[in-house]
Amino acid sequence: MTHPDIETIADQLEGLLERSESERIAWHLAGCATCSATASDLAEVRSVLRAEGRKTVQMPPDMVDRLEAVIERESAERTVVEGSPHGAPVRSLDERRRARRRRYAAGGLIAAAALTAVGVGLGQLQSGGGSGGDAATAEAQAGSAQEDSAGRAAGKKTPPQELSRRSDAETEATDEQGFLALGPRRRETLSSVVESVRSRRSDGDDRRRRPACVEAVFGEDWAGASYRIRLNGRPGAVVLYPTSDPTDAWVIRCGNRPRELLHRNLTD
Amino acid sequence: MTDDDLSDETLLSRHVAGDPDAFGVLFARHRDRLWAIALRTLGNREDAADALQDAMISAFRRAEGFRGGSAVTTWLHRIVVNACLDHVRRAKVRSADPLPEDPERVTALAAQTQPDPVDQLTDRGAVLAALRTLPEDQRAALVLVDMEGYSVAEAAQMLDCAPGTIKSRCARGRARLHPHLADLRNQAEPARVEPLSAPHEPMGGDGS
Repeated sequence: MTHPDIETIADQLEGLLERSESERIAWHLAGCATCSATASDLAEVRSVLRAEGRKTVQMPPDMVDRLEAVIERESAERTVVEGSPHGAPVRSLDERRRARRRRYAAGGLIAAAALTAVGVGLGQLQSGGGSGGDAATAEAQAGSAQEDSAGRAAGKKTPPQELSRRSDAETEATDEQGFLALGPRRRETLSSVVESVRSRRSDGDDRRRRPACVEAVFGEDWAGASYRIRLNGRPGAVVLYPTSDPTDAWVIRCGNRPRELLHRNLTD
Repeated sequence: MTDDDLSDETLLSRHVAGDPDAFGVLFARHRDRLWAIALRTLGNREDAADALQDAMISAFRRAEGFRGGSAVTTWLHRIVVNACLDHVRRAKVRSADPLPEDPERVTALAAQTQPDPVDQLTDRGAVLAALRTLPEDQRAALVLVDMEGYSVAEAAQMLDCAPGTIKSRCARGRARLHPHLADLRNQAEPARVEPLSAPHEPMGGDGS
């Protein structure tokens, strides 16, 4: 008989042939050195692939960075943003808890309340002028403004003692705790935050208080305006450039490895 | 308990529940294997990178669709290998566009296929080069069954086809790799780091 072709031998090894043909090929292989060598070559192809498959391949560092950035962007777009200007005095833990409780009470209208918080925070930067006393006043006004909007939105307040049992970590992590929840139309909501920052921007950039992460991303010698926000409960910044009539906005992740998450041209 | 101690299933369900870090932990845990699958299925870094990016976005957004019944890794590998096949199909559609012989495009493609320095160092090129000669369906079947060690039944589920189809693709793929066996044998030797010069070319200009 003529030699079977290599595909037929491969099919035979994989058990794909009809019984009668399989028996015929098996008979041939038993008596043909050439074809039985081909059969063992095919088995060797398989074992070579198996051995290669067991080797560890490390993802190159540039790919790791690229994909981590993609995952972080996805994460930023689906979750939360809370704003405060970088010039604002640091609020005590207690003050932050109170503010969070107020926003939590707003329930379903969290997004609106948080946007108010962004706006108020930026207003504070403008009116504060770096003086501690003015800033404290602005902070108090910010608080009552939030309370008002929360009260109107929910009609009633959740008893504070119930909420105070929650740990900071929990309140930071959950949308319902009052951070601006970015729902299905995530991009639009994030850009509305940028819009809000833009409309309340300050006229000058305070280098002393510019977040380190902004300098890490843009360099020290840079003259945009930057505002602290929280992304997923962790520090971030919105950056506008140029300061007076911004054409570009960025969302920056702060922390250990600062990086740009989003860049938007405002003139589009 | 740190994130590193959590099971894949727990991390995935935390991700679905809104935990902003869970998916990143899952990615860090499995990224090398995902990269290997994409690289072997597509044969070069650029395509593997693009396909893997699509796959990770898809996995991130569609995590609710994970129903258990298989390992999270199987679910991830399925997404990656299908993203690779989509990538090949889209590239074919693009190459069917007019001006395939655009000289600039050809130059750009040639630049992209320069051997990867990492591949050279680990002598990994031969298997990738041999796999590249196969149709993508055969390549994907061989990557899953022969290289990753999935059963025929698992690979059939992952690629959404009959087990017989997987067997046939594997058999045909191995037959097509047969002419490359000599190259592949070298590959099968234990991994060794070679000097940067090619071993067949003696150094020192002893050319006579």
